[in-house]
Amino acid sequence: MKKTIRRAHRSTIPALAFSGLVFLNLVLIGLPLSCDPGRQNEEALPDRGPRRGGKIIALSQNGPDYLDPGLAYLTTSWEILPAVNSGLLTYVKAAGAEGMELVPDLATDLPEISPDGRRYTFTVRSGVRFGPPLQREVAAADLKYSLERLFRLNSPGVGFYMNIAGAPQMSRGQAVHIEGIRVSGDTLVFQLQEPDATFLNKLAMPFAYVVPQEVAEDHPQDYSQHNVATGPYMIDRYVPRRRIILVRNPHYEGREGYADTLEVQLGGNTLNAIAKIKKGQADLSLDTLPPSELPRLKRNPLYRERLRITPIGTLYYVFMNVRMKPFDDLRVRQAVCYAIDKRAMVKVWAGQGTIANEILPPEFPAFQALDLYPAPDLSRARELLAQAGYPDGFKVDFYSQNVDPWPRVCEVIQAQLRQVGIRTRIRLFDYSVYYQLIGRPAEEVPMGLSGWYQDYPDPSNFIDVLFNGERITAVHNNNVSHYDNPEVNRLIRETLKLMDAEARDRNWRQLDSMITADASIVPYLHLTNHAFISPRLGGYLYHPSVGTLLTLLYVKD
Amino acid sequence: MPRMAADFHPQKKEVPIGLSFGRKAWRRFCRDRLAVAGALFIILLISLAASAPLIVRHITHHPPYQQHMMDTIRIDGKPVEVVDDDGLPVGPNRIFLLGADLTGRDVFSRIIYGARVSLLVAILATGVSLLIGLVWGTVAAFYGGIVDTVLSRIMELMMAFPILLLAIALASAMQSSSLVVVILIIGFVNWTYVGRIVRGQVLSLRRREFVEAARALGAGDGHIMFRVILPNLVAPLIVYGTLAVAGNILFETALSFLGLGVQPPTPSWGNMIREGMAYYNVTWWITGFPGLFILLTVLAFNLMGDGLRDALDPHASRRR
Repeated sequence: MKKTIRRAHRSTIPALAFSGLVFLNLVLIGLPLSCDPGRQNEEALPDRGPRRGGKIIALSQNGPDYLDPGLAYLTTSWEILPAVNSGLLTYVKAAGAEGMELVPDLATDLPEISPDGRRYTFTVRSGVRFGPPLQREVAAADLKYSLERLFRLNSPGVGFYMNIAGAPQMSRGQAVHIEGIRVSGDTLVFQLQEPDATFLNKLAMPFAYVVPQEVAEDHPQDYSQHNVATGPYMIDRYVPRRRIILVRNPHYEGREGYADTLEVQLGGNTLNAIAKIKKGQADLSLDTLPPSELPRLKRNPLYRERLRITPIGTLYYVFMNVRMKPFDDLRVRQAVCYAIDKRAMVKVWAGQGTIANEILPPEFPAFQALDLYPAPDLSRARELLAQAGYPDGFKVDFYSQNVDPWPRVCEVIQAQLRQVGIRTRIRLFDYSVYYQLIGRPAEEVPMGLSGWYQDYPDPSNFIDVLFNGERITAVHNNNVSHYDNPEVNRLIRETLKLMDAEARDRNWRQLDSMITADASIVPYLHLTNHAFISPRLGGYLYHPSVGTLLTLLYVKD
Repeated sequence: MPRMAADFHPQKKEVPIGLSFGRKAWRRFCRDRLAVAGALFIILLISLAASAPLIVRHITHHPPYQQHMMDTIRIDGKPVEVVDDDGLPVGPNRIFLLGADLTGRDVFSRIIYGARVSLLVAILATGVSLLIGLVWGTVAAFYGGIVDTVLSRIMELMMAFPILLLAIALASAMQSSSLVVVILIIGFVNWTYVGRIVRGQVLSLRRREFVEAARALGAGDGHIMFRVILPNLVAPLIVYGTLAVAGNILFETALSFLGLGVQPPTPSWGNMIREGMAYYNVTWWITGFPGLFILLTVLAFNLMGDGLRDALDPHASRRR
């Protein structure tokens, strides 16, 4: 449910207008605007491997929503929390497919799973201490408390754990504990209602990180300010909208966490973040690189070697609401597929990524390259529209958020659809309201753009979450095309229960082609992550689910 | 058959009197070289805007809405993508005279079509504010007393609002932003200045002898206001209107720049600048040329307005 975190460059409107006019004057007078600062220290330093010490400065425009693992649900929060907190399991700290593997963290080992796939037995590692101000060790009971706390907080993560026996009762307020989580000594047992091969992925999400009861209950409203560490770093200071300072957790006994201090500076915008990194005032940005900067960085040989390009599992797509006319007709949706030239859209994204003709990204073992609707094929599109009874096309509202380059993607699609007679009216909305808007079926959004970043590296996070018709909800709906195919729903249900990886992937592949053939969406891009870093920064890796791996960063000497 | 003035007033030909006010004003205007240059630029721009379809057909060959995302052109025999794989468009060249924008549209075609939109919006919005201001100011000054107090206070209340914020609020509240809505909004937030000028003028005119004379002849209020007094306001209104057009071009640009004015893909200068903003230091021509046109147009209207003010000022001849 993690949405694409691409936000507008916020500033007050008059300031924007004023700066716009000032800028205009500057352009007209012809002042040299783009003068890069001095070129000293621009060449990347030799990399002699991880080194302890130093301070790393990261930038983030919007910052985290919470530093409380139970509530945090933004990409930036999910990058910071793994440096501070931990759960039973974690991902291998690597980019790409390697990073999709789960390893024990607070558990001694991967769990023992019962033959029916419904019982998971963990042994909690002993000797792991909570960071200051606490002095005690982490116990199995803390992990049970942390999951139950989600239900008391009404956390956005509750849905992931509803399959645990007794969780629905807890969420309805009929129970004070989740009956399906049992603790005895250092063993922790989860009893599920249905087998679920992604249950371990869900336990690796920050929602399941451990939180000590005594502190959480003392600070029910602002645990973000009192977060107790179990990871390499602890939060020394968190001033919302200003900065977060992470320092070493003295109780941590692992090897990670190379820098002595990690500072995350909040505010500013993504454009001046790049300028700061160029000037050597910061080491990296946690936000996505603005597409307008990329060509210039690529063309400068000194900057090019400081670009880090990582494939991540994402999907950008055009959705069509199959509940509404004329998209209830498959032929109309197919016509749209044939009319859209995806190569143009990848150009609009400054070439960051690969064309998507399927749902699952290429990093997944279940990936298969499809090409069911080779586009552009305008005559085929017109033919299909005529067959569907729209020989002259039709009018439709096209929704999108207003952050560059989304509006330009809209304009390109608008021009392409116009060629087959489909006349679109573009309606742009702010990031803060856009996903709520298209997530309410009552709004009857006929068509628009959407994007998806994975919560955990499993095909179900795409296919089940985005296309299961039984998951259409009245608010926070992710199935924005309202696609509801009973056969697909049934196959998803069966696949989720399968425990054999190969059988599952076979099913996901079949589902991918079934859903793509039904054309409720036009997939167009698997975005890759682009980052620009300082020459002194080493160890940069971007994990497909977690994002920037802060604990691996170090300052080169 | 029209009556020839000369037939009835033959003495006019013979008695050497000074040039008429209009002729004198025209002479004064022609002496002001900057004003003439401004006027010529405006005429040129209007003819460009009016003949936009012809220019596109015969000179640029690229309609303003046509995208060339996947096309390749030949420059000096070498093939060049109109928009390259990084999403950067080609700069000015023989085929795209002022370069292409981020979706591969011809910047020159868009500028001349944008001129249509920008001029239309600015001129009609000025018309709207002149109309409201004229009626409001005349009524306030003519009736005086409680009417004047109420109307003037409302006017001052409106002047106390920061107009850009007011326009933004109106534009957001309207939901739709068609051309008509943009014109009405810009006209509506600017009328108070006209209202003030008109009220002042009418206050000084309404006690003059010719108004008294009209009243003595039995003319009604409406007749006096709009047939007797109004013709005397033409000169200041022409001057104000010319200057206001310049201001309104900027205003439309600002609104479109904020995304609240004319909606894409309709080209307007403000839209073009907003679309190219993030890339201003890579592909300068997307923002630079519309910016240049805004600058020159606003300058031209201001110079012409200044010239008109000097020319239409009845005291000007004595001073010079």
